[in-house]
Amino acid sequence: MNKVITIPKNSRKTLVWKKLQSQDLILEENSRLLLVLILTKGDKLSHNIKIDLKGDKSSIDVIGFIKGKRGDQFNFTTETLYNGKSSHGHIIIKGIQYDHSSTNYQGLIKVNALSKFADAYMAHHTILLSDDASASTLPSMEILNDEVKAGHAASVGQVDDESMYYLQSRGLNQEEAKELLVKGFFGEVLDKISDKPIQKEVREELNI
Amino acid sequence: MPTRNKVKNIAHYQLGFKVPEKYVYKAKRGLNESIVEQISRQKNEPAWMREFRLKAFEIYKNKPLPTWGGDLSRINFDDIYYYIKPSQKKERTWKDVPDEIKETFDRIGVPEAEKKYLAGVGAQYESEMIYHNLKESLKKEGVIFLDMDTALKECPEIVRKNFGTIIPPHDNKFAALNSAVWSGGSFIYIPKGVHVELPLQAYFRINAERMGQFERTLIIADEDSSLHYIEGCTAPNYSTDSLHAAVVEIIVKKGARVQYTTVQNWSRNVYNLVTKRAIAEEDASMFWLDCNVGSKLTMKYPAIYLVGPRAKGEILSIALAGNKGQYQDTGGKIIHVAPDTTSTIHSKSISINGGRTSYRGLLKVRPGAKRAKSRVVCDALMLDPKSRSDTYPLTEVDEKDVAISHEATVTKISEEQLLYLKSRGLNEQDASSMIVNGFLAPIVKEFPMEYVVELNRLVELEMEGSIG
Repeated sequence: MNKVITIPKNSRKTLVWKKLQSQDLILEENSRLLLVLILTKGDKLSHNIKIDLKGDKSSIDVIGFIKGKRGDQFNFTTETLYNGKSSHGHIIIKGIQYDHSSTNYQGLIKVNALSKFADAYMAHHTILLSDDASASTLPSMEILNDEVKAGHAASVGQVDDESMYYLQSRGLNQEEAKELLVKGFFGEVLDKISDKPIQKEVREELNI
Repeated sequence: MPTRNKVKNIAHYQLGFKVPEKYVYKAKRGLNESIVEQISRQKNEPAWMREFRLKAFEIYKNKPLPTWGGDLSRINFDDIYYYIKPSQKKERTWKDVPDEIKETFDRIGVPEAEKKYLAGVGAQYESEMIYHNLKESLKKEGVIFLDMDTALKECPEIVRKNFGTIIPPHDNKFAALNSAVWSGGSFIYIPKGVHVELPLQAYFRINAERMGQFERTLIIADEDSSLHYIEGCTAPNYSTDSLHAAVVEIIVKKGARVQYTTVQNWSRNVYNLVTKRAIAEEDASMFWLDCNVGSKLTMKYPAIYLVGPRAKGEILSIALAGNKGQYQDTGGKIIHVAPDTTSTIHSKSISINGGRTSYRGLLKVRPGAKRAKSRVVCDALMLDPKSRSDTYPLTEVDEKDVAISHEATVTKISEEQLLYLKSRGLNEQDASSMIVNGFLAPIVKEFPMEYVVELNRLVELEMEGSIG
């Protein structure tokens, strides 16, 4: 049984997790939750995060940063259930896999037949920095209502060749260029967190 | 502009007629070892094929039904006819085909199509190909286009070498079933360097009630050849269920190109459970163009294994679930094995009137598949609150030197676009049809002309009576 956290009606809350955990999050009417995941240590267990957008106009933003080293494994699923009306749920996970680390992520967005005006989005973008790193992603959607805005995206690749070349032509060595691009990869999403102390915390944990 | 009939449940399926059954041989209902043997004996097959069937039947009995996808629990496997032989032999001219069978294909338009724009045609009725013909000029070039039963006898070596190598019987329960009771289907061999300019077509028709059709197709395109194969299928409307479990294996050799187009328009009582897989060797390219508008439940995921450097795979898929209880569970699978391979999957689905569409796909990159590039795009349109759309795209990447991306959207018809068209004088229904046809256009334009017209019309009919 997962632990349950309820975000009460009309309230605002921010959670920062430095480790994956299985948790049920219930959002009541007009509540807002920002969940920041800073994952630098993986375990071999599976974790499930269940998000119940129970109340009308509830909103959740999940911003996840994964930096996997050595044999880190990040195995987790998120389930976002749209039960209320006019709810908002955006999940963005960005991961960099070094060494033989891996991420296995499955994200389900489920909009039931009565949940009108749902705004759902999920993205998982991964950069693989070694031959033994791997990623598997399954962003899935089950939509039972047509008044919806739903989308998802996923990508897996390396640091962009052209950018690497450009930075090296400006005098950085390969390692430095790579680290700069990693910083930019995370930076894109980091800017979405307006809370300065949390931004600082993310930068420190990720060393960027 | 289409007529203004307010047809709620689409009873317009114009291919739902049936003709009286006049069969040469009809196996008893249900399936057991003795029926599998009878099928093999009726066809006068070599011993190796009989053993292949019996082994596959054992595998079928022991495999469980899949626990995902559509509801297969209501299929009564004992209530199905696994083999019906409609006539004594295969004909090469339409006038020799038995009357009621010919009448069926006339109504569908197959003989006319052959005259006008095809290089060869196979027509399958129940379990057998009753008509098969190939242009003389192609025969002279060494092109082989036969029904599978004849190919087994006339090209034993090449068939035996390749049959079941891409989809072995233990692949899944329905591949095992097909391997045990397969009948009909096409065998195509295109020799090196030969380009078949006009399409080869096969048409599959079920007529009897409670029929199971299990065609088996094997296509081998030798180096630097090219082929376009089109397959169409329809059946009469019955209140009992029918089963269609086909297996299609395709080998695209170095530098060759194969396009396989399917227009699936089974009636609403057919369970359509198909396994289709191709392998593309060095510099080869494989293109699945898949359109699913009929059937009660379709589970079909055409697959391409890119096993040679620079191989290319493309899957374009349209799914339309226009009726309550109809479920199109379709998608595509692409596996990058060799380096420098590229792939695209573009899927468009529409659900309306309580129908359900799911995109189920796999994009896998094996270690060593360096510089693999892939793009998967799935767009779904939901046209009313009663319908359902799902997306389950799995991406597994075990190679770092790649560029893989996926995106999907689910929406309804844009209010802005509707408003614009209405302000130009169209009523809501016509505006919606136009937008939906526009949504499908990028994929529909890849189909041969006749199908494009048919598809557009189908979409318009599905939309009648369901807006507002």
